[in-house]
Amino acid sequence: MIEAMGLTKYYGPRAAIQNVTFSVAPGQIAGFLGVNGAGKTTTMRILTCYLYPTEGTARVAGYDILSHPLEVRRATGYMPEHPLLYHEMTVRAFLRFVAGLRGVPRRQVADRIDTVIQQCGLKEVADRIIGRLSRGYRQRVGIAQALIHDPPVLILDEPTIGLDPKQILEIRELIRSLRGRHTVLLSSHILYEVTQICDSVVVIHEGRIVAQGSLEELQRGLMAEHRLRVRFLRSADGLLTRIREVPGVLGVEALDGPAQFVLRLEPREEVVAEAIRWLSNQPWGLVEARRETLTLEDIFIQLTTGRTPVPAEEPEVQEASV
Amino acid sequence: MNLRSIYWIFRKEMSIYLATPLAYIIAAVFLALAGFMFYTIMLYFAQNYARMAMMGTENLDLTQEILRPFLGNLAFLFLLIVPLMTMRLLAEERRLGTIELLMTSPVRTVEIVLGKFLAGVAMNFLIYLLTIVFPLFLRLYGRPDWGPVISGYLGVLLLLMAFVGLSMFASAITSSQLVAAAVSFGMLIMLWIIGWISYAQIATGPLQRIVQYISIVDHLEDFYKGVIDSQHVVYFLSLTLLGLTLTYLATESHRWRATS
Repeated sequence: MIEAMGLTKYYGPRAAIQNVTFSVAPGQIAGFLGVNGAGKTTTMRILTCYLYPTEGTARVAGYDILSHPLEVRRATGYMPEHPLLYHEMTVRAFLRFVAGLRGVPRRQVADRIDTVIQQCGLKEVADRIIGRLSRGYRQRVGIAQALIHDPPVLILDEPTIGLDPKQILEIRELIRSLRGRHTVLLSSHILYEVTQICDSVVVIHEGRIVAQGSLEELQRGLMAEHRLRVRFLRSADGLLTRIREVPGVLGVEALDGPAQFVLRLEPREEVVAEAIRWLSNQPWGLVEARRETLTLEDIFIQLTTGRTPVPAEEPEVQEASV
Repeated sequence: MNLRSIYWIFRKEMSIYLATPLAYIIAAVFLALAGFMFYTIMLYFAQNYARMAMMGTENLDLTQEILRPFLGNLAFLFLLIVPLMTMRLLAEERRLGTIELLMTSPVRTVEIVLGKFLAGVAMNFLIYLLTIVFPLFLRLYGRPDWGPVISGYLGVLLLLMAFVGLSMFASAITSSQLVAAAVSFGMLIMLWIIGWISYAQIATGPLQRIVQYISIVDHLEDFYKGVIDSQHVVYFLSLTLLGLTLTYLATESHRWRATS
């Protein structure tokens, strides 16, 4: 639905983005992740035909951004980083204006306005002047205007920036509700947010795409080993030595608590399954087995700094000596 | 070109004009100045009329003696009014970033420019039309010749189109309304006074004719006399087209811009 092909944009001698290539499947919510200044906004502005790329092109909803910009824009709802609103208009008047601009048929305009007002929770402020609304409400008006012509593609630039926690939750809920009906590309520099909302992630760093895929794919691709944290009902002599016999084990670390270990396994799902089966067949009473996965933070740090990730919230590990 | 897009841009601009105080304040100031001008011209006419009557000739023409100088002076005021009324059109969209909203909607840049242009012309001309009360006032006491009045208003409409077109260009190259106004003051006043150079005998021959042609003042005279000459119509329409083309290029070039 969204397909960027080798997008490059120079601002003077400096490349804001270079050879940006990624795609988003229909109906998916994709997170566009990068620190501030990584090139997220530039990419989104190119996808919405606000800027022309220096090189490369993209297809949005099946149209080429260079040869069919009007069709692309008709198929796209865009919310820029700071929602661009005419502060002297009421919410309803503003939505009517945007509906007119986006070519909503005259007879459907009233309907569409009611729908997005409902959808974005703007009912109680519909007839207020935009300039007097709180930030959270303005952000929602920003999403409402992007939705007004029911576009197949939505491009949202930092939709939750500057909101308070309650507002952030509401906006996230709203975006989640769009899954399936719209293809959404949303940018964010908040990793947690992306894991909360998105089906897939595109990571951009210093103008280049450094990774893309579902969160699981990213985790799998980056982990050199699987870490399985296990706890047994009771400790036993030689437990550690026995555990080393688990098929596929690379190493074992004993943890602080009694009868708790971390098993480092070969990075294959089958190995993990086999290990769990093996452990649960033992007489020590396996009460807990938990995969330690990389968080998006870990992945992100690895991608952008090249450092090997350490799984989050790792407690102090002591090498056991038996 | 999509008329519906133009209509929506036009409608939005008009609603902002009507919802903000600037247009009302300008209209009030303009009418006060116009009233004062009309009053002084009337006084002057009354004195002349009395003198002429004593000498036995009463063939003073209301239209030529009052309306012609009156309309001419009013047009001069638009050198100041148009930049103020037009400065917001594109500069403010750029300052607020709302231009991004327009330019990512399925609307051609031409349509944005035209919608805004039409709103600017409409608003300026509405303000000018308020002065119709003065010819109507004359109608109470005499029989003004409506031909020159109508052609005079038509001439000013053409003048306003050219002014708005050029001022929009000034508004398109900056995100500051003040800068836009300053640049368009400069352009418009230059167009008004460029003819002065011919008095100084510096420009002679073909150069003088060119300068004379560019100068706005000479193109208005015929309209006040009741003559609609296609030469002057073409002049104003070309200026308008020049302004709109420059505005279009300045706006569209932002898509190619090389700075963030």
